[in-house]
Amino acid sequence: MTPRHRTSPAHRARFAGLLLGVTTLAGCSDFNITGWNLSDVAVTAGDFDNVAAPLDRMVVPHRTYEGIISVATWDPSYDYQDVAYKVEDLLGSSANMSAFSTIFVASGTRGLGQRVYNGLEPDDELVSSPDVLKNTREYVKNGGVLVVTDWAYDLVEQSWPDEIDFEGDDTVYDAAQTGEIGRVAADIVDPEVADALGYDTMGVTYDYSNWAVIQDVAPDVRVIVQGSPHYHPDGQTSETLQDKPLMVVFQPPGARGKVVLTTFHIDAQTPEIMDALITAVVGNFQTDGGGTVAVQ
Amino acid sequence: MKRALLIGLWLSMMALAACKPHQVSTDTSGLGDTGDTGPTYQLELSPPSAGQGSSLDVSLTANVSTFRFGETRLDLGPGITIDSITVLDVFDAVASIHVDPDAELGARDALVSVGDKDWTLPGAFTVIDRSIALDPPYAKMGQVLHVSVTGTNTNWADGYTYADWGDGIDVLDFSVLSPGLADARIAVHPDATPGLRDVSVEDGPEVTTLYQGFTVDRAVITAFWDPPEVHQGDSVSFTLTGLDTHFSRDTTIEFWDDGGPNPDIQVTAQTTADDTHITGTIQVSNAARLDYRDVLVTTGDEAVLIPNALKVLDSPPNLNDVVPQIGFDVYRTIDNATGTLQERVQAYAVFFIPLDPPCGSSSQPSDGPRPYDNNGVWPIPPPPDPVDCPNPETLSAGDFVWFEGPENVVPLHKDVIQSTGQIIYWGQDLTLDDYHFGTTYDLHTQGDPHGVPEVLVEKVQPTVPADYHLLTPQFWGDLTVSRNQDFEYTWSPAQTYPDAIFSTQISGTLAADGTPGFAGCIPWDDGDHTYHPSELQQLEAGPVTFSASSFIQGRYFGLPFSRYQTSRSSSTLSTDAQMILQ
Repeated sequence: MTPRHRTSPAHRARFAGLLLGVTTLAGCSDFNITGWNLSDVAVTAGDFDNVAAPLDRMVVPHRTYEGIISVATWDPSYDYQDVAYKVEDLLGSSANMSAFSTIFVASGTRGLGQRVYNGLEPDDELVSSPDVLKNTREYVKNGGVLVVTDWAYDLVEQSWPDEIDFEGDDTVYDAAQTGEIGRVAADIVDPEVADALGYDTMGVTYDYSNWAVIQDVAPDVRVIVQGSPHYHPDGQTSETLQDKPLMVVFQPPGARGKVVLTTFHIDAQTPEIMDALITAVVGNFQTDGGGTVAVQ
Repeated sequence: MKRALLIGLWLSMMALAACKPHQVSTDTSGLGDTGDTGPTYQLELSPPSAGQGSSLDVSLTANVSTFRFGETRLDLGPGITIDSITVLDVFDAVASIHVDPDAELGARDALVSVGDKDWTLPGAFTVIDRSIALDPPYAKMGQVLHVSVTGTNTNWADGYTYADWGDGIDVLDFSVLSPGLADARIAVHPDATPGLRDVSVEDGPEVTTLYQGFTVDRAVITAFWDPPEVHQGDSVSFTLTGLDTHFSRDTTIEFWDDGGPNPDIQVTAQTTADDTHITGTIQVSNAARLDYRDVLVTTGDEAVLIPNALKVLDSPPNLNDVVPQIGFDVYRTIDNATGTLQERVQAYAVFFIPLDPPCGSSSQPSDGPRPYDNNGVWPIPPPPDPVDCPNPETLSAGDFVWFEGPENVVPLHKDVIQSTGQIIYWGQDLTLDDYHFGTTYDLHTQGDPHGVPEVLVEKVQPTVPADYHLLTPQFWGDLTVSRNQDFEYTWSPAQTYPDAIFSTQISGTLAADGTPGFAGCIPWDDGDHTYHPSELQQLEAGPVTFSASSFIQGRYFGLPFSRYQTSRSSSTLSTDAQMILQ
């Protein structure tokens, strides 16, 4: 694992200065997680996480940008070939991203890893693109909410390398993907979120192995859920992660938006908990009838 | 190990949880947080059933805040023990249960208690008589592995019980170890859809299914083969690129078709560069079976199957390589019950391309008698170990082939062996009238524009010089011969001298070691010969076969356009009879 830089005092000072110019949110790790009102939503369709599941349950309109690598495991019949909107059109265009208040990037979205998981072909078209990373940073800076799950973590690591210390070599895509399949009893450690939910534990299901492991976070990153699941750091030996972040949120310095990252899949969790977590940590969505984006 | 067990148990539970659970909507009385306008209260058990004698985890899922730490209990009635219950959160709990082997079959109520509140879920859990469990309950994409299949109240039998893992997973082998235990070797295709799937075990009319009981994980271990196509007869370089593999110098590479490993493609050179790279050379037999092949790469306990890794393409036959093989024989058998002489005349021709590389070993040459009148006893060597060789490619020479002699013509009709596609020409309904003694026939092909053209190869198929018959004793009616006395027999001379040869033998079991053997001789073809007690006593008492043969070989020959000119035909007139040594 490569040692990570923590947020420097100078960095924090600069960030504090920027806070004077923002209107919505305040404070490093003290920003309000809950209470965000959100409307236009985009989701990417990736192979391993149907991030639209809670939105569908809550009847939240959203536009789907297809990003399937091989097959939508959550619905193998999903005919992604006919989806007009592609993930490259979303992350590759600052204008397109800015049309949405919230963007969910699903685990297994193409272009965000070292190579395709079932082959040798490279799959880093998006995450290695300076334009994509710039668009992503600008999006959050301008108030956008970015929700990233599991294998899409490289987008966060490359965009804000100082915020989250992922397992493995930070310079190698996918290096953090060492978690083991299983289920773990986890704690909802953020008081604000626990208060909003009314409970402070949740069973976290890792329905596939090789999920992205977080080792540590910068001070301005708020840990929402933490637990002690298993991982295999060397590819062979299984070890227990002690009280590691499983879901985090942070507001990058100078940004008006926020970044939410889950190491687990949204669609593999207990729906009632996930819907509540999404609402608490991401925001209150404008439900169908008032939305401006057609449901795909 | 404990952690592995826990993961396994969890996976089983998770897998089962994904099946259609028995869902119970209960009266919400006692649930103050649901309210009249809240959602319908739902509490589910998953899996909703278990087999007698099984231990498993059952998940309890509520759609409103329900469970509390230390205050949640589950009662599934008599015969089911709740070993523990773990609350994961207010919506989820997991109970470890054991179903007694004699627990009453059928549906039963579940009683869930949280604090002082109780909910009865009518018929929420069912005890079934047969069930299966898998260990491990998951595999990587591309992985080849053994899975232990445990059955409860099953009666599996090897060869009659089969398992099905669904699309994208091949069951390479299914071995039943006991009525309730089997070992399955499965190959998960690299492109198998990740996720949960059903697994069924079929035992005659009985099918036991574990719904959503096996997870294809998204972790991939596989390899990629290049080149994707080869031609029959090719010797080509290959590269094998692994994904998360651990190749070594001991890595083995096999080529599989529908019937399993097929040795008609052989690795002739192999260099392992590192964990994920192997290069080398393969030799594809010129008769290699056409179509796709899987490649199985095994390194110790690690094995990956690359489905349809390469395709074997047909190579047009080269006439320069064609070898003819012909024969014309008469087989006689004396019916032991009636003394009737049963006679069969057989003529054949085949045009084939010898296997390249050669496959298998030829039969060990057997020792035997030498001319003339040198009696002896010899073992019959065992047949060589069977080798799975490809079927040599055969060519058509038209609809007919003829053996043409000065006095008659023997037509041979084209026949295609359905199972192999090989072409062979047979004489049909031949009798002794078609077999002219002392003749050397020409080989004449009709010709096939896509195979062997019309050719006439002169004087290649001989026949024995003359007919002969066994005269005394009468070789039928359980002819019994004492091993302690001379056994003299006579025949009408076969006129074999000097071009052919006449031989006899008594085939049975060697008294010395109980292995097959025979007493044999190449007698002067004068019509009279004797086996002596010194030879007969080396055979065990009991039924034996007496055989007499007249035999002749033809000249070396080949097709005019072929590089092979080493074919040599022969002809035999044999007579077999049964007798008893005592």
